[in-house]
Amino acid sequence: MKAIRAICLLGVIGLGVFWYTEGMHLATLEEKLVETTKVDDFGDEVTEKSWVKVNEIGLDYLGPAAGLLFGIAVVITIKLRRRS
Amino acid sequence: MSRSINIFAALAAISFMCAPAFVSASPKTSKLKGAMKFLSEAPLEKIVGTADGMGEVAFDPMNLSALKGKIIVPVKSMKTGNERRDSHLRSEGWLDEAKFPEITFVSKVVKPVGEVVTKGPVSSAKVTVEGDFTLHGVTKPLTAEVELKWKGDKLKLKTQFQIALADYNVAGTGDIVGSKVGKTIDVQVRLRGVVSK
Repeated sequence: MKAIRAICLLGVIGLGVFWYTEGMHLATLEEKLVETTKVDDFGDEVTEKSWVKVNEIGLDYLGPAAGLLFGIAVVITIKLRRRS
Repeated sequence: MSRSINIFAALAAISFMCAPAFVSASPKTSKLKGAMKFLSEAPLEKIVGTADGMGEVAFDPMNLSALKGKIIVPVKSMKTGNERRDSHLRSEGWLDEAKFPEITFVSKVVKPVGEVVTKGPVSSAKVTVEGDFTLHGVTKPLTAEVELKWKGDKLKLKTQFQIALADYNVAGTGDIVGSKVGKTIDVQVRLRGVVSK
């Protein structure tokens, strides 16, 4: 039981780190705006915008998953306390 | 001698007749297309989005004050990189695309800022445009500095301004405005087109 609790808590931390590396979005980013610079026919540097498919997972998915793992850890902690 | 005087007089008369035509040349219409970029910065989230822009401008390089134009941004073309967020943006609680499908800007007063600068085939000028900005069915006056550039029959313009969502009764759902969506939105518009002959 303690091992499962530890895994759950590590999972919560892992999801937190994963969220950080994904760019800390609240909503999952399915497409990302990419701006490329080019020189137009006026001789000006202009940025061309295009949307590129990505999947940077946000808190909308990671939040519930982390909450579930944390909940399991809490339930295990309560059960372990009652047992002792 | 008298013949050359006659020719000179005829040329002078032609020049005189033509001169008013250049001064009062009617503005040429240009259909413009391009993109709008918008940026919302809130404590919890930074959102970058784009939308298609289109417009029509009556443009006379000899008389920039006579510039008239209308820019239209279809709400359905707005994208933020998250399909669910985009559908929220178009929904009744936000921009209500079903009722108000377009965001528009109609110019009313144009004041040139400085002189027209010509470098080779490219001329440019800055103007201050006062007009009516309509979002979510609410029309408010808006003033923006617009940079115009033209080369031959090609015309492009760029501008940027800020709008406050509260001014246009965009309250969103819950307490999202101010936490996840900025109270003010930065808007950049880049349009270009060909002036009709």
